[in-house]
Amino acid sequence: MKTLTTVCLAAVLSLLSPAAWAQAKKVVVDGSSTVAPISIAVAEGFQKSPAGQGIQVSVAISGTGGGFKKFCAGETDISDASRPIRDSEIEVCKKNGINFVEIPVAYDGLTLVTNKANDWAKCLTVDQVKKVWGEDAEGVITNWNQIDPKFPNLPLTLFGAGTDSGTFDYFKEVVGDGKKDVRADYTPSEDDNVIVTGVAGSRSALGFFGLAYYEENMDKLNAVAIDNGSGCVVPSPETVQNGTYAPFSRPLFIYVRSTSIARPEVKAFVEYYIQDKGAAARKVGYIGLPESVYAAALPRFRNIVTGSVFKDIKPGTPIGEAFK
Amino acid sequence: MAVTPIASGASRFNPQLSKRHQAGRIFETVCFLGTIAALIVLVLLMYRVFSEGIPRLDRNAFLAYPSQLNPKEAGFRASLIGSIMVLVLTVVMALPVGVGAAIYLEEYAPQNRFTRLLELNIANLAGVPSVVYGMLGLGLFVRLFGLGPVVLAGAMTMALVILPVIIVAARESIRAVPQSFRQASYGLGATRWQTISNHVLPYAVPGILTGTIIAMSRAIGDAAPLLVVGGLVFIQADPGLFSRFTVLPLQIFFSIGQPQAAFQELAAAGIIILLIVLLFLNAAAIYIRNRFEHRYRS
Amino acid sequence: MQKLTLTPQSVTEALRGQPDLQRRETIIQMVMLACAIFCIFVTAGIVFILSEVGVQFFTDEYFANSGLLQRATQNLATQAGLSGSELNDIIRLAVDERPVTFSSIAERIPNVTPEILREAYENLKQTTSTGEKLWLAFTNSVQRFFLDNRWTPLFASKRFGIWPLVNGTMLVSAVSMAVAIPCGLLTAIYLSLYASPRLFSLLRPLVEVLAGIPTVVYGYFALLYISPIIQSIYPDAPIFNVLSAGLMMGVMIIPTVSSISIDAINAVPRSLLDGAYALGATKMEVILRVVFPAATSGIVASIILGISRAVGETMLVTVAAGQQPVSYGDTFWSAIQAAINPLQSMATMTAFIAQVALGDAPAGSIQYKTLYAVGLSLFLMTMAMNLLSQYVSTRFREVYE
Repeated sequence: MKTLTTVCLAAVLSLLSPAAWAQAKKVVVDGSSTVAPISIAVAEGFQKSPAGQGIQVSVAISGTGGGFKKFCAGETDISDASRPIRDSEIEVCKKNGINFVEIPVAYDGLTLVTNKANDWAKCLTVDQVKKVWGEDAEGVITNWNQIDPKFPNLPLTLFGAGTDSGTFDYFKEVVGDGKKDVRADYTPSEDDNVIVTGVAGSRSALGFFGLAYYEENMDKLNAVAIDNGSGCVVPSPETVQNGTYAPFSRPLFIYVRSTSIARPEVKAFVEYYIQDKGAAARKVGYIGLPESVYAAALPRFRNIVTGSVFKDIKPGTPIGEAFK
Repeated sequence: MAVTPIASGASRFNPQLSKRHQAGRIFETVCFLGTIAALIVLVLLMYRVFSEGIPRLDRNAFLAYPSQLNPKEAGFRASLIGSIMVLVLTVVMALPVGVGAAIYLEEYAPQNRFTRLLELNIANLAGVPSVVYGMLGLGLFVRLFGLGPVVLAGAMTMALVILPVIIVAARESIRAVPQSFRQASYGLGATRWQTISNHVLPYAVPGILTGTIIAMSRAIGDAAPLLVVGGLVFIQADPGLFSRFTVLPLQIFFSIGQPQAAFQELAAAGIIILLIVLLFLNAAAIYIRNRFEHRYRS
Repeated sequence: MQKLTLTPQSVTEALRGQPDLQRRETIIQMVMLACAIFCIFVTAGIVFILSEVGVQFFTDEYFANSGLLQRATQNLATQAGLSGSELNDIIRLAVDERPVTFSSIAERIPNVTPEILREAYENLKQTTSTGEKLWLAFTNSVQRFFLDNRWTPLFASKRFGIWPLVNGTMLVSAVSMAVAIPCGLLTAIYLSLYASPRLFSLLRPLVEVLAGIPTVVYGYFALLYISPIIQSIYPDAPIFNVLSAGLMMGVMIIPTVSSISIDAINAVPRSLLDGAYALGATKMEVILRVVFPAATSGIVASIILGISRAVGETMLVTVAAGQQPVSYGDTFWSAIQAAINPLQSMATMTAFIAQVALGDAPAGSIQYKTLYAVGLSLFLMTMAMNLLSQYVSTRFREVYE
């Protein structure tokens, strides 16, 4: 019994290793699960680079809203966000004396996907997408041939992002023109891999998620080209970056606390992020912004220009216009 | 086995032995099938996990830090250490309090309304969803105590989660100690505490350890409370007592949700690592349980 | 607990001459009491944390505004001469401040445009006192929370009826206990009473491993393996369904039920069994009529623990049961059918909590507050269930002791 107690005590004490007391320089990032892979990839590159020696970057995932809550409470340095900050959140930040610099970092291409055997819905207009997915369609539009009489007589099976995700939020903005909602009778899933399985398993299925998931599963799914008035555009890194795949390209952001910028490790990390110009984002399945945007972001960051430009921008607006 | 009637009146009683024995055999088979059913599911689950994960279970999986850019070379080092630290601290914190509460309720508490209140309270706590403990931990340990989302706060939260389980199991095993033990001890002039510590507790240890094993399994596999406390974190450093941390189930959860196939394999490897840790801990607890069982019960 | 013939009090009496020993005993007793009372603090903490924001939900301005809009609608509609069920229908439309709500109400009232309605509404907002608004908020929210039958707080047209979520939790738990109780008890009986000691020491740890597998893994296993099997038997079943989630959850809970039951069965005195055998009972009869009743308190405790685990499980249901709250349709019969059908996707209370906790809702918004409202409901529900089961099990216990 005594030896057992001694062994246990030794094990516990050994856990309080020197690592516990080490005071490395830390950068704390939190927020969206969509943007996290980008921030993580950038952090990895940064920590290996000469600028990042001795700096520990931690990237947590509490959701965009949860991230902003911690950000406005002063608990984090950088907030990952898959949507622009909202007025209500800016209020809270102001109340706590927190100012931020808004930096767009990458594009996420929202892709509509169909089953591999679906050879009829190769291109849909934005209006058709709105017609299928809008709240008025709930219980009403239940068959493919209601979208276009040329489509076969097959029941629609809809899959999509969970209602509490940034993906859903952006989709809703587009489909509902900011006023209306998405229909409630689709199969939501927080895990996009499940949507892949769902759509791949049903001939009459239609789903939406980020481009990364389509790129990984091109052998199982077809991407629907979107016609925004100037012809069918297939989603791809090029079309998303040059803005022709609209309005389903959504920008992703990081928000940096202005007081944190005084710390050299935070400054170094964000500068590395911007100057990476979306290379890390591409590696994890997202798309970089046009180079002009990064060029505009860097001086804004260096001069600590606070406030949000994007919160009032309509989805689908070319990003170069918003961010000069 | 034939039964001969001992008096003429008894001829009306037909023991129907063969029928009853047959029913017994069927019953035994049913019990066996019930046991096997669960184990078959376990085997299927393990087969799937192992077939995907074993190829990926190399040195890196244990020793490398997580990586988003290079999933093929990434590993579970940070979350493995985090999991073990949280688990050990959790048990160290929860076991004494849990056993103490159980001892109080079984040995000291008088049969009055206050005791009923305590018992109801504990039974209720056993049913609270672990997410809610996470919310409590976030508000209390992370924010109010000002610890931040660190290992200690996570361990304290998990200690609250498993506390009711330990108390319930400990109470059952203390209750099972025969009164004759206590009587004999008092009869020899021992005090209450001496009786408890030298006789009741050792006899009850196997049962308490059962509860602890279940609680530990729960603590290591339950991702939800630590998710709320802020444990879904990417770090490339070994966590210490007061640093941000992540645990195995959360890193597995994150990995599974990534689009690239390499992450799916990594997740499977992570599950195997988790099971290895679990088996290790269970084996240690079972070893202790057997030793006590041997010594104090035969 | 039986009365001891040698009572601890009499033992403590004997210690009277030894103050040190007495003091030590008292200190130890105090320490144990502190451990027990600690649990009350934990409960208090949980109640506080949940109520703090939970109460904010029920008194949120959103509901006050909804109540005011209802009042404005009622005023205008009665002025226009409407009454009875038509009046009630129109009032029911008044739920939020969206333009589409205003226009749909104004359509139904003659001589009223959306602008008139909005003016009346804004007027009421200015003139109503804070106290009255608070009361309105409370009544409106409680009414919607308990009397509505749809749960769509994350959509634009928000409905806050809690029953779909409660239904999801109850159905998943019922399915899982239907698996866990029989299998758990059969396992316990087989391992402790039929299996050889070697088999016992081999199989028992294996069963306990089932409890350690992360629940996320169970969720994905259900999704990727059990669901397709179910879909091959019932082709209409969706990929997320209660049956597959419930089955896996049942398997997950088996160790909880069986392990504690094994201990309870092992604690039955050997003398009881020997006596029964001596009277000529077969093994099955001994188990069913002697061991089971004697071990009841432990077995019931294990089942209650299992049910608690089922109700509180989060990750498994989030992954496998889906996030679509059940919708009941328009008729009573369709509602019943929807409520008990396991071959559909049903969001549970815990899955919703996880969804919002990880999600996009801005902190402080009404969506965020629903998280706490649901958490509070879940806590109260499990408390009610526990009280009920305590009552039942004390009744049980009295019969055999």
